[in-house]
Amino acid sequence: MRDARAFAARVWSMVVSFLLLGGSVSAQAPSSGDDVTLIRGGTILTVTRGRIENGSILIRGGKIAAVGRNIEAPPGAKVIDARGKYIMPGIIDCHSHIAIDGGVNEGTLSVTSMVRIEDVLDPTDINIYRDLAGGVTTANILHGSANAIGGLNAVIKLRWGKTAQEMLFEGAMPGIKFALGENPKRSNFTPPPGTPRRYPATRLGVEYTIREAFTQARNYMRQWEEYERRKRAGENVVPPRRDLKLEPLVEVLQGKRLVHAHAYRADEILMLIRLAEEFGFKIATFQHVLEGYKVAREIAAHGAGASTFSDWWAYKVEAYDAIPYNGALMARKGVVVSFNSDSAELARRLNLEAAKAMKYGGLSEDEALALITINPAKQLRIEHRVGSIEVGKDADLVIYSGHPLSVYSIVEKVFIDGQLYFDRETDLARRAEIQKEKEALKARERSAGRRPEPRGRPPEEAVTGGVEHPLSPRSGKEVRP
Amino acid sequence: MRWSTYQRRGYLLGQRRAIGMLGIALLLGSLARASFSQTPSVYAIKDARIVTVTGPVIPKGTVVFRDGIITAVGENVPIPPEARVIDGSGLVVYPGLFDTQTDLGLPSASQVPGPRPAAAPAPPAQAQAQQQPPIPHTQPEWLAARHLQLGGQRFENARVAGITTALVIPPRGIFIGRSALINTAGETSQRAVVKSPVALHIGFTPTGGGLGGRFPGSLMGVFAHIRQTLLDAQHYGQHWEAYRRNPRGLERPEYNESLEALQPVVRGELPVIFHVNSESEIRRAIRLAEEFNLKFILSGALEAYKAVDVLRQKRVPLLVSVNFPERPRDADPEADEPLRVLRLRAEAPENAARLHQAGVKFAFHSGGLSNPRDYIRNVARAVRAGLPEEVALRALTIHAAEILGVAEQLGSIEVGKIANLLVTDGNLFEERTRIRYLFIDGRQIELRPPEPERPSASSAPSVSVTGTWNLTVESPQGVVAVAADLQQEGETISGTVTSPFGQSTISSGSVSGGEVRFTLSVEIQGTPMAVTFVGRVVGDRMSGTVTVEGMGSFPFSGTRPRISSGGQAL
Repeated sequence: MRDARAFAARVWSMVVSFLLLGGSVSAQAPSSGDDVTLIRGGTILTVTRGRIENGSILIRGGKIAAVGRNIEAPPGAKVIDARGKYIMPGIIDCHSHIAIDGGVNEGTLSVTSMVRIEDVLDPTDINIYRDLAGGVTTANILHGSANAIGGLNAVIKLRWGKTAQEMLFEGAMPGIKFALGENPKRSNFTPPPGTPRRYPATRLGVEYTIREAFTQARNYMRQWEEYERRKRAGENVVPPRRDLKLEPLVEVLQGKRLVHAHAYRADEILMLIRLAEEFGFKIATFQHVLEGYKVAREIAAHGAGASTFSDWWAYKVEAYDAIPYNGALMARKGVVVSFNSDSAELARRLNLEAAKAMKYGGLSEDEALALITINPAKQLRIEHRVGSIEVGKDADLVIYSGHPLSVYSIVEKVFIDGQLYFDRETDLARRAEIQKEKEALKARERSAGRRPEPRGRPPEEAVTGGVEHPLSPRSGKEVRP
Repeated sequence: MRWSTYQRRGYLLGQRRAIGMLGIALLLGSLARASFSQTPSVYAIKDARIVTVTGPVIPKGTVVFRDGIITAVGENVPIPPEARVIDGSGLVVYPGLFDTQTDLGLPSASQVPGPRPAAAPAPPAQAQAQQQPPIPHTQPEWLAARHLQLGGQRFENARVAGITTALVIPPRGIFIGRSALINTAGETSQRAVVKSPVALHIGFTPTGGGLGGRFPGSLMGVFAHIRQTLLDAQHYGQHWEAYRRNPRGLERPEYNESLEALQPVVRGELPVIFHVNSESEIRRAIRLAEEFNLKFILSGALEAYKAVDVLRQKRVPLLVSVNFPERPRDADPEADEPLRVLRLRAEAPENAARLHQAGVKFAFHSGGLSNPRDYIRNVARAVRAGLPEEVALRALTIHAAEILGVAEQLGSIEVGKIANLLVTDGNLFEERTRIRYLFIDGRQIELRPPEPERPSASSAPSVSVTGTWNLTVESPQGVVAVAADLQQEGETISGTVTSPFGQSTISSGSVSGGEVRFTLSVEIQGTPMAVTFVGRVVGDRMSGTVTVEGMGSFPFSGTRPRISSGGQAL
């Protein structure tokens, strides 16, 4: 009797294993790296080299090997027919909080440059797949804006199905999050009873916090220089204590780390530019920067980029003086401008955000597309790898059913490094399969539940929930960026 | 006296010498005991099936042990005339089982290893740089061996489940402390401790500190904190070493108990046991360990089968939990759970089998299962899911001993090893098998009839929680007083909970065995947040963990003021 049951259980577990294995094979498992693929017969929007009608793209070893009108498929090449479709470079989201485990903010202190997004990337966050399905191939995963100096970022490619380490954008320049204004000074948030109010509480205090941190960083740098000098002189010295909070700030001072600064108001943008110039470093991007149009010349002169929204504003006092022309006006003054999502949901349709800059501000089609491709690539210093369709660049491509700046177009296929990571057809086909598997697993649990099974308390760590938003880590409610 | 000297010098001694000393110490201890104890110190179990684990099974043989040490095993072994003889016909002798991670014998979760004395309010940025407040959950100096509370029902339950050896450490924290390996019979920690410290335990549990709360409030903060602390430990060692070599002209380093305790860890001598479960946690822990060149072991590892590539390649030893995730009892039957969650629950029992197939070495632990009898039951589930029985047995015995560095003393039935023996009336993994005799350190353990089975869905729960409970929650922001007014009907709990955030009605709640669980929604700053209490009730005391959605888990405890009831009055 027992043996029969054990046998049945074993057979069942084999069946399930087979189903799961079968499932993962038919899932959109990217093919091996050295494949040759030809995408043939579509309208190619290169972004930097204009539009090619009825063009083809040859992909070899994950890179774009050729772009043009008459490209023959080499023997053995996989051919994808894109007639009637549009092909554009993969979208780059310069401000995202997806795929973070255990909190987007280390909000306890006002300077948290010791924390790293890279340590807590969650490669299983479903938002990676959903954003991928919206054409996003690269994202700048930022710490939240709860503190004046936040944590270190991670630039990732949305290689769904891979491990966290495999998602990291190889060689991307490291960065750090700063934040100014209402969020770091906590004016809109009442702390829970018993919690002391965190310093700073004013914009003046935010500036002071950053200045103080960089003063410390400069001293720390000198301390190490002094140690090196004395060691060379043969003195009996012990190396200084390594300080993980100050090391990234030293890298900022040395120009080795990009600053992505959350800022809204024109006066504060100018404040941070002055402060950075005083300490001799650059702000790589201002994020949100809704009043950027007022100080576009100064932003351009400093050499900072601006990563903004098309028309998302008025969610707090400092976000009221905003206009839809902001992106276009800054671009006209010579600022490298991108449109970001700051939201797992908005990231799925960044193409439409870009389209709005044509109506408000009159950007050309290429200029509009640049807002979500080559410009964010420049802001992240990865434009030699991604952001346009050019020979030698990574084959990060999106095939749309129609023109990507049209509301009627949908993403059909997304390639990263020449490998197919999203395919709408496969996705649709797999939905029934997934439903069937779910039902089978549920039925199995129900039948197991009828036996007197042991009931332990399941470990709470076993299943991790969704991703929390930067500013309201305790709720799923829509919040202010 | 001698024993504690041994403990302190434990890992400084060569293995062989340590074993020798252990033998002498045990011998002395037993002799001393024998002089005033009537318990015979020589036993022989004859005509039994002997599962030695490290050697072939002896279908009909004899085990002899004297003064706590096995002295003979085999088919034709002479039985000393002074031995107390046990007829083992039809019985099976196994080595005692290990539970390689449990909080057995440690003070309750709310006390240990609790945060340090409350820090002063976070100082302004200027002061912060110079002097960080003490960070909670950071006590590498904490020794489980110093906090053992032996005896009691939990120990009896563990023994009835065949667990003779346990690695004890609290389940949560960051630098949790250093574990002890104990035999489950000892009345005193001097007798119970087999090895201490076994390892430093590190968990990735955020303190849940919100804005302005205590660092680290997020998971990434935990990583930064671990990294900085290990760097500080390296620096501390370096500084002291330089100072000892040549103090002239050098600033004298400050003595720091925590960093001192981390020295054998950063030198790669004392292993770190990381408490991890998900695939991501496993990969993160491995990367962190390699960054600091730590000797390490992973514990929990429910999703290890998803990371077999790296586990096999790096030969990472595992202590695998069999506390498989189950569908929550109060789950909404209509809820559409993600495939990933459903798959994890279905695959969890297959974890061990897949690890075995991939050639990854592992031992088992109970993972905090509230009923120790579920331990073997769940291992049996792993066997049904494809794990060969002999491998399951090794994971309960010799593999555990090897991974924890006590394979010379424990984990198999061999001459010279500690006589921790389990005598059953059948195959260990069969539900109807019962333990007939149990020996720990060569002493026969009286087996009380096992506690009644946990009640099934239809029968009445064993405790009543009806009444008003005064509970205190230890949040990172301080202690919060909560009054819970509970009504119990069968296994269901209803009622209200009053806190500084107002009064809320319990949306779902249940009692099972001594475990109580209830969920409610609390509005904090305009945001409704799900709050779940999970605790154990003993008489009028309740303690456990409260989980606030998105904020973390905090210990709580409290009492129910006595209601005068005629029947119960003394």
